[in-house]
Amino acid sequence: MKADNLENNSGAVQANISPNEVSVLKFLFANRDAWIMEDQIRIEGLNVREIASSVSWLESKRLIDVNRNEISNFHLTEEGRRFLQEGLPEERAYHLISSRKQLTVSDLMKELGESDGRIALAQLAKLRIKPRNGVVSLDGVPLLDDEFARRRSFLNSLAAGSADLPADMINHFRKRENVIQEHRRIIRSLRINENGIRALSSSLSTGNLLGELTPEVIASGHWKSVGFQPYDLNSRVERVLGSGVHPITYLSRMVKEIFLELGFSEMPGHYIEYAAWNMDALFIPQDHPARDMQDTFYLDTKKKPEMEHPEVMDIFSRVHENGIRGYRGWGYKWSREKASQLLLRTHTTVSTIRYLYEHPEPPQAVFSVEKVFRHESVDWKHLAELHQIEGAYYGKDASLASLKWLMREFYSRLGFRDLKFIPSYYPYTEPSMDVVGTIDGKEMELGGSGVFRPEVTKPLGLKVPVIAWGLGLERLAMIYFGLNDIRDIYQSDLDWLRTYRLRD
Amino acid sequence: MVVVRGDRVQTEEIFGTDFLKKVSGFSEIIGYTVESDGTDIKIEFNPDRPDLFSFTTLDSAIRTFFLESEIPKQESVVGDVSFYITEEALRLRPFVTSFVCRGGKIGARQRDMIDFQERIHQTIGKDRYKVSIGIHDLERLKPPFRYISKPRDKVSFIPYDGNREMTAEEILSLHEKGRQYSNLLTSDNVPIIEDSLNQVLSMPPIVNGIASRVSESTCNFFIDITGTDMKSAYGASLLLRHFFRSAGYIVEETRQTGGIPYSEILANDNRVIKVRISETKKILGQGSLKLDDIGISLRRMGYSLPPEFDAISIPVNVPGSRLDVMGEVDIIEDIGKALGYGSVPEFRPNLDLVGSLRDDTRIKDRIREVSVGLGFQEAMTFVVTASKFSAGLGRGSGAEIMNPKSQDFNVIRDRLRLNILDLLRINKRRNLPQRIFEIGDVVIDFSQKTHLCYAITDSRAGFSSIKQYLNALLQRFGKVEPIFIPEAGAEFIPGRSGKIVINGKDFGIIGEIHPETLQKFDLANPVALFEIDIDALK
Repeated sequence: MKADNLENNSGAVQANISPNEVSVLKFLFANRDAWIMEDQIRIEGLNVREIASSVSWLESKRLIDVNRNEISNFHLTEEGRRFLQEGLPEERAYHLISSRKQLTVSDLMKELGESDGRIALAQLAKLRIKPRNGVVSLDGVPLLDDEFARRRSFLNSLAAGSADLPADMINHFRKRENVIQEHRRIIRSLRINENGIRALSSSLSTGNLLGELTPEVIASGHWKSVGFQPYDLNSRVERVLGSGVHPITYLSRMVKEIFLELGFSEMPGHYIEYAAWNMDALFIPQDHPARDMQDTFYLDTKKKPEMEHPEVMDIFSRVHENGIRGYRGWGYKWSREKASQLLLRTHTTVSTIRYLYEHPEPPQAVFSVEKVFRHESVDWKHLAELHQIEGAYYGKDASLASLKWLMREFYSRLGFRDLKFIPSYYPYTEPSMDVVGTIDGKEMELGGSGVFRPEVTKPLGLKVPVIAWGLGLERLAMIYFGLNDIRDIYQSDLDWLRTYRLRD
Repeated sequence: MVVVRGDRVQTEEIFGTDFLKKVSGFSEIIGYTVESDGTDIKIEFNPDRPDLFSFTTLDSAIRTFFLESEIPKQESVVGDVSFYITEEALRLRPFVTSFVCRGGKIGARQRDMIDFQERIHQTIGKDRYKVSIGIHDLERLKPPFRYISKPRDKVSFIPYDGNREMTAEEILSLHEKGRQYSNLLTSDNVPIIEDSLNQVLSMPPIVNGIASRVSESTCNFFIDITGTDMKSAYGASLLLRHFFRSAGYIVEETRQTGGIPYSEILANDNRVIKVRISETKKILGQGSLKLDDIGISLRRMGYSLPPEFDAISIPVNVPGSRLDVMGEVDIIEDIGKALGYGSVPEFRPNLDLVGSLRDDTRIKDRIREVSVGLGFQEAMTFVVTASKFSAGLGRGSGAEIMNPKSQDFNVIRDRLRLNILDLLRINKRRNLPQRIFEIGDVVIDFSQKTHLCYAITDSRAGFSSIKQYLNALLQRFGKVEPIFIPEAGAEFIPGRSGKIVINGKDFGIIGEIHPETLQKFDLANPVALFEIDIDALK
């Protein structure tokens, strides 16, 4: 801050108040009999932010009295705006039902779509319109047009920015998911107090001690004869926001360090995979639920990238249909077409199995920390994409016992205690094992692990067992950084990115 | 996850007051979860063990594990119930088998039986498509039974839960189950199972008739299994036989003409699989495992063994209900489970390897270091993003998702900068200036590339401010200053944006974002950014 007025500046140091704060005090002093709302303050040369900051300082120095009042503003969400355009789902459903006398639930779902259909049913149920044996009708239900008209006009007034909103409607929409959004704001009212008046007057008088050290002061030699005004060392200063790496980078480096210390090498991979490598290679049957459209993202493609090692198709076909020596296989007709589908990889175990096919000489220890994709709706606890920590060891001493050792070594380095080992099931491992650990006093499932099935390893020329494990990095992030909403990791608040606390 | 749920009081009446305790103890062996709130018992299983998906069969497995009793077995007996299967009906659902079981009143177990049946429908039946099961009260019917094909309008009967006769056509369009499963019967004819008095037992896979409806006092059952997949029909038959035997019933074969002969199903029961001792020790990593411990573990898990076996391998008899056992390793896992995963020793593998990072990981980390040093905050955004971001901004071909869950996540990004603009929108109330960067992968024409995007927003953020940072970055990586060839990217202001050319190669784009794009992302302040392929820095 430049000192334009030496006299004022040195005075400000004395009372420890800045020129901006002096200006605010002056404004309040001129109106000293009344409570002034913060947004009524107008001072030339100061913007709203600077005024707000000065007010906070003055409050902390107890030079003004502050009253806080909360006011709420409401806005439409994106979905709310859509409802405004298309009509509320329950109203659309109501008109549909009344125009057709009755409607089956599945037809309703078809007409409105799954998500709106569900909303419509829930809302109609609250108005006593409930499906019976899968059919919805309006028999015995009073006319609801008024109710819907009120809801519509409420959304309209909100969109128009009206402040005069009926309380019952606010209540109604508050309880509904994701139609309106509430913003609460605190408004401060201010009044200068006696301390403030005293500080203001002393700030205006001339001091005889040196204030801010400036090049002029240094050159003048003035400081040889005049003392320095002492500062209040504990007064607040403005916050500095630095910059740094993303929390996921920070965590993933931590994980990679552990792998490197244990002698593991990082392997390559890519988002788009053939189902053959992502699924068939891992002996996941072609009718497995994980391969459904509801579980995996498939790609809409006219042309396709080349498949790596297409010769494995024949191997997968044989193994799935007839098994291998001593193992009966799935016994179905294997479809090359299904294996040729393109998808977004659902796990990085696909990288492991392809890497081992390309490097069949044991021992190998590999890892990656990369994105995988799940067919999930994004909400506070789910993401459609997340980083999978993947580790695998291929060696003649790979076994359930060495897997347990590795799990303890790996997870304890991440800070987990009291590990428990629980039998589990994955189509491509046998034995399969889940690990549960405790961190910060909380128990957490740490993900799956196991010994690759012989149907996975032997046909690809692997001679000894493979043990592998996986864990979602974002779950760790939530614990490490105490997050309540997993979306914050990627749709982040910049302030958080710049201030998140590192872990020791 | 498969959920088995039951009333706690009723379950304890059938299986004993210590049932919940036993079920909890066994959960650590098998790896399922149990919850009980006093009135309910809820168990969540992994999908691989359909033989445990009922209280009756779970109880049987627990008693076997604690060596209280063996998995019930029985020589096959052929009774006098006949079942005629016609070729026409096989054309509709081609795999048919049946059996009869006799015993005491089913009583309170009826609920468990019906739930088990429904779980088989859901899991191995793929929602009745691959296989469906009809369970009938034999005493109320007059065999022989017939599996026939009839035109939809020529069949009518009262469904098990109905009060009036309905034609097949009506059932498929009006009855709850009919509508739910009508897609499984698409031809003009429907399959029907009826008795010698023309009473309809069922119209598989849709609904049973009221004539054969089972009640708590039913003692003798006729079970029909029809399907489109032979293995699933075997599986369903073996699972149900296991259920009834576990509940104390005698299973009796029918005299079936056509369909799957019972001998074929029984051939899948008691398969013999050799379990090698050396392989067991190797997979579990327990060199000192004793032969006796292996033997007792196998028995506890319901396998039967010959009285004598050598130290090389054990010929193990696998119960038919263990559909999940595909070979030796599945049995070895069971040995591990019986011993308890907690008690398997921990063994340090001989990890005599030198670890290394990928080259691109190393270069990405250097870029991060330099970028943070230049005062930029790292951001990460979603790879799968909204097509609306790039609407009107010229998308490359490919990488669209066929089955998106929502329109907010329906394409793989082909550039980082649109996600970055969206992130700036989220942060538009945060302090200015904002300087952020992202290193992330994009997909262009199926090829995955790593991009780097720097963005600045402030009340003033122009071309020269972003160019300064690009030059500073390139300098740190020993690159010459680039040449900029004016070319308007769709998001940028023409004349203030261009291609970044380094040593004659095009590596990306730089410029001021056009106000139209800013407004599309609801941004009030100017944004200047560049986006390059990180190959430019290699």
